[in-house]
Amino acid sequence: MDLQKFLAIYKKEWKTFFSLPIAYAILVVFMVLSGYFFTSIANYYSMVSMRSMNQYYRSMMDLNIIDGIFRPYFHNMVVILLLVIPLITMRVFAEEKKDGTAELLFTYPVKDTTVVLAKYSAVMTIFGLMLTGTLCSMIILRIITAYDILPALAGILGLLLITSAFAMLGIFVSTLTESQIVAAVISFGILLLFFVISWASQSVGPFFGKILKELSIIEHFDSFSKGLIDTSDIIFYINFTILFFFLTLRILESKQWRG
Amino acid sequence: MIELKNVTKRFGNKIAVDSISFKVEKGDIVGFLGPNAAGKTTTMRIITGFFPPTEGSVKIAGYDISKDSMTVKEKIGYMPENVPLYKELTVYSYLKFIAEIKGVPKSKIDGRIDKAMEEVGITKVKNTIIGKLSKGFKQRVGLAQAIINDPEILILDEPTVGLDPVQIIEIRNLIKNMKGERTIILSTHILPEVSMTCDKVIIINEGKIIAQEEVKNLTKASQKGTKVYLEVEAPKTQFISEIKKLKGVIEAQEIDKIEEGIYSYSISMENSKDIKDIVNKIVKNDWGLLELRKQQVTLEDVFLKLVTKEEL
Repeated sequence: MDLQKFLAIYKKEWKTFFSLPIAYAILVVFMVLSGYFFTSIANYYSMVSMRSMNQYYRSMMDLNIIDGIFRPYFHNMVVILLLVIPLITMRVFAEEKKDGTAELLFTYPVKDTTVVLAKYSAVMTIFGLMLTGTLCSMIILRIITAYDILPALAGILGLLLITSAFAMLGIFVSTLTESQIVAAVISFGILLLFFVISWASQSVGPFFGKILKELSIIEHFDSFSKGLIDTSDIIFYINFTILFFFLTLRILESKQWRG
Repeated sequence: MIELKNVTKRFGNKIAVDSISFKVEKGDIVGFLGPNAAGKTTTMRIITGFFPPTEGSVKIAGYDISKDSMTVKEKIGYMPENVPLYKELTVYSYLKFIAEIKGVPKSKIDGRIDKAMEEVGITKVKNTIIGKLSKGFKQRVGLAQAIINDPEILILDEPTVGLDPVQIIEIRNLIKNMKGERTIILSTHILPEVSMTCDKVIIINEGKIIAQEEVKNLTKASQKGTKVYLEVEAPKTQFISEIKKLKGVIEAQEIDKIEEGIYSYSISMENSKDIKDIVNKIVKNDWGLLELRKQQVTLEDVFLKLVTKEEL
């Protein structure tokens, strides 16, 4: 892979994204929502802990910041990401196809792998930028009260991994259609399905139930939100990303896409 | 420089390009002529490596396009029809992106951008956002991206479509100025464009090549002898039989009735010197000569003849 070509596409994606009004709309909405969630959960937690201090022998033992603040917060973040990621990935290939720029892009001396990797990296950087808001909230909380920040960072890692899986799926769907709206709707639908797929695990017997549970994109996130890093969960998200990376390459090679 | 051998492209059951072969030598400007949906764009997309042919081989500067696609792509500058550009970028940042992605060495990028902008005359809109440019300027930006890495081969798909007459002339001059250094293939369905800019013409219809010839030969070859158009006030049958008796007249026929007693005729003859005999004949018989002109065979006639298989 040629670094100069990779960086060229990466920078171009970055520039075009930030020339669109949707970029700022998404950034602001995301930051405001995640800030609001964090503050309200933290307020609620401090209220509960105050009350349990008054009745000192009650549930005091069960309270900790990871379970009380970060776990619900990270789960809320995943839901926001579920809504926001399709809106960012929808244009990645659909727009190139619709505007015809794909025709030029694929006659340049650049490999498909480089194109997909650069676009994926650009999308990931945008989310990295968004998650700095979360990081700030964590640091502010650390200044106010002493808590162990490392388990919370595990949650950030989980968010990045889940974002990577969501984003790659979104990019894949974006190659399937010329319409950005259709791409967004389909990615959202598929993501939601992966989100709730474990709900059916109770009713299909123990064997299939286990499979459905393993497929669920949110089941694998739970340990991260508790501050635990489990390699099998990391591998799940990496595999998910790689699978859709290769599917994207296949679609780009196909006659249908270039026809 | 460019060599296609038995290239076929199918989309499902539809054959877009049917076993075409041709060669383009270094430095040639070749016009790719054909009605809409004849397979021009498909052929160009195959040459540029956008998609592979179903059958057949394509060689560019000695490299096989399926084996050395990256090397081949570096040698080609392509401007598709409708010139797709990233309209959110400024002209300069767009060209910088293209130079980088085409692998122009970092130290040469700025120089190449300046030269390309100079060559197509867009230096003054350097910092304008592409989406705000006029169609003519967008076309120039499209040309600039094609030549930014100084490619040996230029493939231009309908480079003048949708432009106003002044812009058309400007773009044609730009293309003509590139002659000599580069091998150029341009497609068009506008015939004068070919006779004005190209050395060689390849006529394609329904996916097949129906003629490839030097432009000057093509018009000459189809023009056997001279053709004359006449409007004469004379009794029709008598006129035709008298004319046919003249030496050197191959064919004389009526075209249309203009008015009562006045008809237009088309006469083909071996030698243009014999036109004076026709005039003498008309004067001697006291017929009224209303119009006489020599008919030039244009590329348009040749094209129509080849495409519709009509006799000229």
